[in-house]
Amino acid sequence: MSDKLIQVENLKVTFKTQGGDIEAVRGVSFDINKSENVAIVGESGSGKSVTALSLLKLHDERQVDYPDGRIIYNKQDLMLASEADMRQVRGKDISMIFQEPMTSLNPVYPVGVQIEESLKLHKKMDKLTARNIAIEALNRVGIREPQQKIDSFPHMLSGGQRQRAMIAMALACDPVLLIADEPTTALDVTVQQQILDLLKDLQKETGMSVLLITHDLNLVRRFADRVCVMHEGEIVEQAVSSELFKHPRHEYTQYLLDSEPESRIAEIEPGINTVIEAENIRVYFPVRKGFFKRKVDEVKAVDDIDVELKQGETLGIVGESGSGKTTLGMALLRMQDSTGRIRFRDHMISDYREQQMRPLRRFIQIVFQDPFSSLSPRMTVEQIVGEGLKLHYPELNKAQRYDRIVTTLEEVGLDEGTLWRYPHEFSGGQRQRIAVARTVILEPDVILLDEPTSALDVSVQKQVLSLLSELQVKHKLSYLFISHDLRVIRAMSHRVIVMRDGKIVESGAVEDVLENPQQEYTRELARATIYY
Amino acid sequence: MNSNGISNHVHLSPGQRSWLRFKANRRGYISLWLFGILFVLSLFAEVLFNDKPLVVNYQDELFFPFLITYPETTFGGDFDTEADYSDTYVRELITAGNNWVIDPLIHYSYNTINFRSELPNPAPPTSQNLIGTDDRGRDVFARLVYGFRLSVLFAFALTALGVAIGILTGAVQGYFSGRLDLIMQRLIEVWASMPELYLLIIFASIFQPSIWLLIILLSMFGWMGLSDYVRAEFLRGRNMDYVRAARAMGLSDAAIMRDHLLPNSLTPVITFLPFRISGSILALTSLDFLGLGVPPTTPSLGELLAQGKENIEAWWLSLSTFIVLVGTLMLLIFIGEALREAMDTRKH
Repeated sequence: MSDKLIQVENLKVTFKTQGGDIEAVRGVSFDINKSENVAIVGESGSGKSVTALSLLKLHDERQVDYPDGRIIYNKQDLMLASEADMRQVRGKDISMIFQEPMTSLNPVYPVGVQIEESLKLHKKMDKLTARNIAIEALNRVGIREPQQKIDSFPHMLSGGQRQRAMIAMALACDPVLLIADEPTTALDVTVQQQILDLLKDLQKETGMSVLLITHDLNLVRRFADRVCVMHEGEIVEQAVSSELFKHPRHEYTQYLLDSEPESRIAEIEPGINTVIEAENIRVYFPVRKGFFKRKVDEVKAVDDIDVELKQGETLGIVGESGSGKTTLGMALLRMQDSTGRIRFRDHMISDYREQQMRPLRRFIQIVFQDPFSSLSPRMTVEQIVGEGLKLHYPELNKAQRYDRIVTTLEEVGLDEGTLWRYPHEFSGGQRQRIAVARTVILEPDVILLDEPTSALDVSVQKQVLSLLSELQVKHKLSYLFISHDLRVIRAMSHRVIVMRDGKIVESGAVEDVLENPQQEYTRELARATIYY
Repeated sequence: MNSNGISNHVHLSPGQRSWLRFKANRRGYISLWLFGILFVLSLFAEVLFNDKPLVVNYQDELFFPFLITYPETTFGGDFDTEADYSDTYVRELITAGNNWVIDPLIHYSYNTINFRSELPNPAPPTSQNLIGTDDRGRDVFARLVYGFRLSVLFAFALTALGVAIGILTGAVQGYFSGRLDLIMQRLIEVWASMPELYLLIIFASIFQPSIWLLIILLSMFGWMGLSDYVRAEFLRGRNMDYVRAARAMGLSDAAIMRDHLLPNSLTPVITFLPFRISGSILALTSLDFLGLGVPPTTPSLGELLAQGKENIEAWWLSLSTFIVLVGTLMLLIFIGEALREAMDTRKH
């Protein structure tokens, strides 16, 4: 008896659009053995999620066509199976977990009800048995106090707990194959590792197979037995995990492995001017309760933090979500009310009113994480990049302004032809370049980079980082670099602050803090991010 | 200039691209032309539909009766009152000898009564009155054209006012939010619960009914629906990164609201625009139908409909008004549809 669980042969998927058919997957073949972990790795748009959804035929039939291919499961071709037969397979034999646990759990039902649902449906259990099994399932995925948590609504759980609940839901009917579509992307790094370890443990325990879909090649290093690398709808390389990482054969795989951010720390001369100096920065959010909104408590988002930033220097601020790193950045820019003293060059800006801040704003700029929401969708590139010029350089005439815009766009690697286009016509990386151009054109001293590469594919991430460091050298810029990703921080920063719950855990030169962490939390972070 | 990708848009300004998108909707484009022609023609209704001649050459002197009032004595008549140009005696005077007259296309204005008709009023269509007369013997065609013009102008004014007030209050509430928003929202709720129709009836009995009074009264209530949507859009938009980026750039509140939030909050405004315009036309028509609208002599579609109801056998009254109303509303909705697509920058 063969130990092949599922075989995918020459699978093709096309999307039907008004502008013609788009081939998303072009003839993909792979198989998954029993109790095997297979990973499909690829950048966004490579067709990896489309392939995964096709296994369960979860695509909308009005939009998707399968011109060719067979999916053999249990001696049956799922491509030819009826919708009713598919429903028997879904959730029972093959189940799936998704990237964003907040949106894939229904917010109006307690998690328990959602786990019980598939048990009642596929195993015809009564309410009480289903509930007991559900509690057991929650316990198995490592949720503490499952008796209480089973009645919690999704919003009452943390991101990691939600993903655990999703896994409990997927595993309730003891599937033989679990498809995990970017199961850790939305989670903090330390939690990511826990979820992967959990999946691995459960896999050993139950003997199921796991198909992991991810964009992060390094994530699968320790997890997968076999790796398929996808690029533009095709599997370009398929190999046993250890083999692939040692001897990547296809150039795209090498390219992906090389996309690891490498050190691009700009050389700065010692003993130069301090640009921003801040002392005792505190941001407390009041918690109000009752009819009269009495203040009952405070959330200390930023608690007594000192920051110093020199000219031409990059200060990394690292921490997990909720650690207060973005709030700190916003407070330093006076975009968030805070107490404490902030000095920018000769200006004590913590005492300045909004009116007084405005002329100074051009010297301290921001680049945001999400390049989709940081550019106004109704403005052309010329308007976006030129807006600040109009305000801060009113002496320029139209032609001079145009020249400056074109020069700046060329500096960030975009040409004149992009001027009339709208943000939605660009890829994520290009949008981030536009966002950078918008700030650089004002000749700032400091740029706050709030997770500037987190929403980008690894290869694009590398390009944006090298652009940033080129600009830093050229214009002697100081960066406040906020990120949850220690790899990026290590590649870019001179000094680093590690934050947790609004406080500084550890700070100092980047090599000291990351290579030789003194605090347990920093060690944990470093271990979770840099797997070697 | 590069020539890949979307290069055919390279030389076009955003406005030109919007116009291209508008033109891509054939139905809306044709509707715009039709409506434009009809509306422009109706603006010159005094030249096309008038009981006074445009130009009179009387004894080698030029007169413009449709602009200036001349007494009958000017043309050698007997009375000091204004000349009645449909009167056969006056006609003879101004056409005798070398004198000549340029008449408008149709010899009736909206309140010209055809005294020469031999049929009882309302009279069915004849060669004199192409769509018949109403119950007072006035030409229906002329009244329709003047009524159409008034309805459209009224609708434009009412919509512009309502949209302006709605955007302003919605923007202020959404952008500044907090306590100001809370207070304004409560005030709006109180204001919205006032019985609009009762107020109209009461005011119609206190003041002399006029088109201006109607515009003021209706726009006092018409802005609230829109303000809610704009407020919601601003509330959503103010937390977007591009707004924070604009703040970090040093833009003032007014500039952020105008340049960043407003263009991104126009979706509900544009979506509702055709419905608001047609709604305004309908509001005027129904108020006139009920007799609460414009003063009796004013040409109005609603008044014609009311006459059609009174004289149910006079099919030319109700049918012609119905066609004008439906046609106008349809054209406006088609144009609105195309406008909505034109404003969507995501479409090519």
